[in-house]
Amino acid sequence: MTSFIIKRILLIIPIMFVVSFLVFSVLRLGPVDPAQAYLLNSRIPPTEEALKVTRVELGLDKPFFTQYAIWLKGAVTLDFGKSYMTKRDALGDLIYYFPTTLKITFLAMIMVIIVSIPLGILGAVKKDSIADKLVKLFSFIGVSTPSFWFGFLLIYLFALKLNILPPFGFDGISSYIMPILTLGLMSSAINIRITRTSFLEHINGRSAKYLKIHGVSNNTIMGKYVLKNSMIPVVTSLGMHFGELIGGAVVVEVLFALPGVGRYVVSSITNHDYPVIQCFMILMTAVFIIVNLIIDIIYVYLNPKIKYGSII
Amino acid sequence: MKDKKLIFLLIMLAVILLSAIFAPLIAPYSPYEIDLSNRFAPISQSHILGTDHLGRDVFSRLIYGSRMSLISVLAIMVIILLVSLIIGSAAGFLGGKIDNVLMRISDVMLTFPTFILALFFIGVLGVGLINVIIAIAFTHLAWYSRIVRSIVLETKEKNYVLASKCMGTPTLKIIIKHIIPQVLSQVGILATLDLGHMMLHVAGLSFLGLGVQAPVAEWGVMINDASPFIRQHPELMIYPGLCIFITVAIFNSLGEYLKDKYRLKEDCNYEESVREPAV
Amino acid sequence: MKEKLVSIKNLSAGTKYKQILNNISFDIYAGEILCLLGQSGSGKTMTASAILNILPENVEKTSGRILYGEKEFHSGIYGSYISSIMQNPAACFDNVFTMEEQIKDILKANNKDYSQEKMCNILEKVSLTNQQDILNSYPYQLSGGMLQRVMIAVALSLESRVIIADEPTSDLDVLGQREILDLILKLKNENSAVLMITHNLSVVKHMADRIIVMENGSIVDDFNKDELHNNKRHPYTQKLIKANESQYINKWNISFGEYNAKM
Repeated sequence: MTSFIIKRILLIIPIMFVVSFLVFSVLRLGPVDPAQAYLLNSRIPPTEEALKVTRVELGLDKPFFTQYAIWLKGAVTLDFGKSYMTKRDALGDLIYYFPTTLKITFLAMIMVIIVSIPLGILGAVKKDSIADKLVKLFSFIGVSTPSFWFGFLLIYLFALKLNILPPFGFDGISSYIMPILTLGLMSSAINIRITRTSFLEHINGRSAKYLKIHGVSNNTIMGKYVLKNSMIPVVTSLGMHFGELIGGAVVVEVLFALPGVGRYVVSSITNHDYPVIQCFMILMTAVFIIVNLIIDIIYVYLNPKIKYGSII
Repeated sequence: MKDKKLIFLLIMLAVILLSAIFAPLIAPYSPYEIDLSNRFAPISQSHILGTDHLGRDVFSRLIYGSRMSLISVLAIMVIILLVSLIIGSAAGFLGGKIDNVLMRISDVMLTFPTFILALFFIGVLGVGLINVIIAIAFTHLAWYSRIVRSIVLETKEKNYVLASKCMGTPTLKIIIKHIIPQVLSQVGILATLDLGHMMLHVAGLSFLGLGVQAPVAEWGVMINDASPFIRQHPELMIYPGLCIFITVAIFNSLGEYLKDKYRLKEDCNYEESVREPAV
Repeated sequence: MKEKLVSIKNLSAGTKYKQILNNISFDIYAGEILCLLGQSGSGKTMTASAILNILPENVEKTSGRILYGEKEFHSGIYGSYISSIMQNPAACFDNVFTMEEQIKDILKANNKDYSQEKMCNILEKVSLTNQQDILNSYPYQLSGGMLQRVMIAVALSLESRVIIADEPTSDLDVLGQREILDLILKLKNENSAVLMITHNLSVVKHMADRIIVMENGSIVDDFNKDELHNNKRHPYTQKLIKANESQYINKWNISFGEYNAKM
């Protein structure tokens, strides 16, 4: 197990390297001239003269690989350059906003787990009952609802009509409730289905039948055998959903005016603030790699058939 | 019983498609006609669903809005199918180094959640509906190319393909005659399931101000436009949201129906776990 | 008169659209191996599933009674009364738990001794070596024959009086088949019975005391082994025998005749 984890941690380095190269080169291949973007962000008219000066200033006159080398050298020492917009350190800015984003993502993840696993199991165990139909209906509505619209509906109902939750901004724990519900709705709905399908498949599986024939109690079969088996696809899916939840957090932060990376990233995208976009992608990659590693460790624990070395 | 459901879904889909195609005939007003003297008009005979903050007819805007949403998802799908067919066939038929490089790139792309990747591509390309379409198509390419590749690899070894190869049929003809029908039938179901998700992505990006820009009649934009007036006029926000919800629900049920009918049982789990939440 | 262990009375089952079992009635007596013979789709496995109450989801028991001795079991006979050796053994064990865990839970549920020692002991009875390794391994690490033997070991240790063996040899090679069949023969004693489900007439000839032939969900014939070549047999049974003797004569030889010589 330890060697598996060490191997995976060592793999982070080449993956980060490849991702950083792809991110850097794709941005350079794009139709936008970074020098022009820089000038627009600094509110300087992009005259020929100014562009020329800026290109030298930002090192854009050097060959592509030299530029990448310079950037990479900075990145290794955690210097991702300065934001075109704020003229502050890109990483510093992102790190300032990041905790809020992570917090709501994690809380939404917890909500997804708490909602989807029990409901999915309920649906499977009481298949075709009224409870199951309600669970199915909920998950159907959940996958079809635009989450930002759902957020507005929540604001209208709980903040404006009932007046029990603060509508926007950050104001104590209760301000997290609506963002988390908004963010977690879609993932919960999808994971309910996955849990239900997977649980059903194993309830009707031959191994469960074999145990049943030989008198093993239903509680043991469901609570031990079927549960562990059915969690395998659920864990994989939760791992993928973490990434989507971070993506969704961007929207939710804009919607609820929370001080997360959301607004900052959206404005850096509209303004072609390349250092911030690069830094954001690298930061995201790091987060996803760590989350994937955790998921894989849980996965290996759940499914002994996967040998430690075989998943990369 | 089951087929009744299919007919119902198809009729609903036809209604939406027709209202998009014949929007100018159905909509009583122009979606852009501003009438500041008649802001927030209530539901009446002249304005079936009232007017918005600029006095524009809401019903007309909703009808025109269906155009944007449908055109964008269909464009995304067409791009995905075409490009993934090319990439997947290249990887499957040529194999070797090309296959390796293409698959490694798709590995990297698959590590990123689609929404973050879409944000990145918009960062590269700039804001706008066309860029949103390209960005969302790009983010799904890796996944679809893999499916096409696996279909190619599978079909390539089928006896009838081997037979026609023996008779000297050129690869391109094999692709057209055998691979494309296979891909369309198998990927088609998945695509239907994904259409709803993509529509939610497009609406989400429009909401963030990265997609369709303000005056254009689009459902996501309309929700955003209505948000400052949520306290007094929540209905302005509810209508376009319901439109998105219903359209996505139709796509989703249709996809589910097709999936059940054609029993994609073996990869049903994988497929579902790979579907990610849209925003 | 032999003791009647299980009786099936007027059992019918089917899906919404199709009748699968038609009014099946038979008894299982102590001390016999009863073979349920028929082609695939004739309802053999469905009969066993109905007795064990593990019918597939879309199939429902429409009528009939299942009695163990004098006691009626509405939801199937299970636990220490009956034990089952199922086909496709690889799917019958749970791949994410060790063998030890699964055997232990079965023994525990039937109030049997589940100490390590006891478990090794029961595996030894079916001539499995390295018992401790087997207990520590996961099902996917073991071969089909080994898992089949573990099933027999479980049946032995539960001391069930009725054992249902559903195509126990279908996934095995010739040698493995032979070994499993020998072990099943060992299971038979004065007190217990084996219900063996198979489509293989050579297995029937080798094992059976009594034979029931099924066709399209109904019982068409029920006779003792020595009456097999009797002229009074049902036409379908005769057809089966004929087909088997002409076409599969070689298989019969390899399976039970001079297989040593052929090796």
